Amino acid sequence: MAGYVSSRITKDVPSRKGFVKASFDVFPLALSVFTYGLAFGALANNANHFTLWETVAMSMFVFSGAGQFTILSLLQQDATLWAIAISTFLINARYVIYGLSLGRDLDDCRRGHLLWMSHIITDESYSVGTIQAQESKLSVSYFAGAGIIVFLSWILSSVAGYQLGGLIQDPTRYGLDFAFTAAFLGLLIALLKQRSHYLAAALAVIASVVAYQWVGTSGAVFAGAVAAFVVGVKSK
Amino acid sequence: MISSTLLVVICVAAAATYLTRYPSFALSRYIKMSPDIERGFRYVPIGVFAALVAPSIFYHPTVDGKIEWAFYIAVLVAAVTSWLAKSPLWAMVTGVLIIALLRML
Repeated sequence: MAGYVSSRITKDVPSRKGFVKASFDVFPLALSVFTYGLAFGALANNANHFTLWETVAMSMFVFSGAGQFTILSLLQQDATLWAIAISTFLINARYVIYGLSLGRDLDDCRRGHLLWMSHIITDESYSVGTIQAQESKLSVSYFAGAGIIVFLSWILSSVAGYQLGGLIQDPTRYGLDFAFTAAFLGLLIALLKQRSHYLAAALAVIASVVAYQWVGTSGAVFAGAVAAFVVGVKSK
Repeated sequence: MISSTLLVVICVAAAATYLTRYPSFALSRYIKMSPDIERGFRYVPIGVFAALVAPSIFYHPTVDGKIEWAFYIAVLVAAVTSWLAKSPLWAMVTGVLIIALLRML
């Protein structure tokens, strides 16, 4: 779920209209999420042989594009439950930052709302939410609108992708075994925007390739994350 | 139906993801984090994606004792496509198409 910001966001949104306005603001992003969800659904069906309910359950309860692709990949490699838990946590570590930022911008609300609102923190809801918060306090209805539209887009596209994927019987013949590598390569390259990003990626490649020999996928992911984290801390 | 094994995986992954979302969201007004550490967190996805891709390329198995050139050509095409289109989806589509075509030759 790549970050993108609508330019049509305006100030002073009444809370009752917040949901509708957020829906419009986040709509272009929800479309990009939809295309990504199609790929997830197709892979869950073809590469991992999930049932439709397993695919939907993962999209509903994990609700993390990159995290779910990672889980599919790890399951194919017979990774342990610990490896899946740690990798999922690491791949979603940016949500810690999003949560810190959005929580400070959020208008006063009941503590119970935070329980479900935290589940709809994504790159997209964060993008439109923080822009909206620059103009006025972020209302519950606005953030709910942005998050729920993205959530629905993700669930519906997972189902559509699953059904489309069912039409293909031999994934290797059609190169679908390469989809994970290509998708992660695409995600990685999309994140490289400045020199320190390239340095982080280069060190993460070295660290992960070395670590993989000794401790497998989980250790490789951990080593790569630590290498990039250190570069991020040291860069200005 | 959902298999019990996958149900456990989904629950664990959901809990791991929720842990990245809820605590910082709920406690944000009480937590102070230095800008350096915040920046470090923003770099973590780069490291994770690199770590998921690099070993699979570096340790890609041979086919009948020979290097599978189709795989490495597809990696190159996917990388260039992603670079030009800035889209993971297009990287995936072109990469899969290229490797499928080369394997059919």
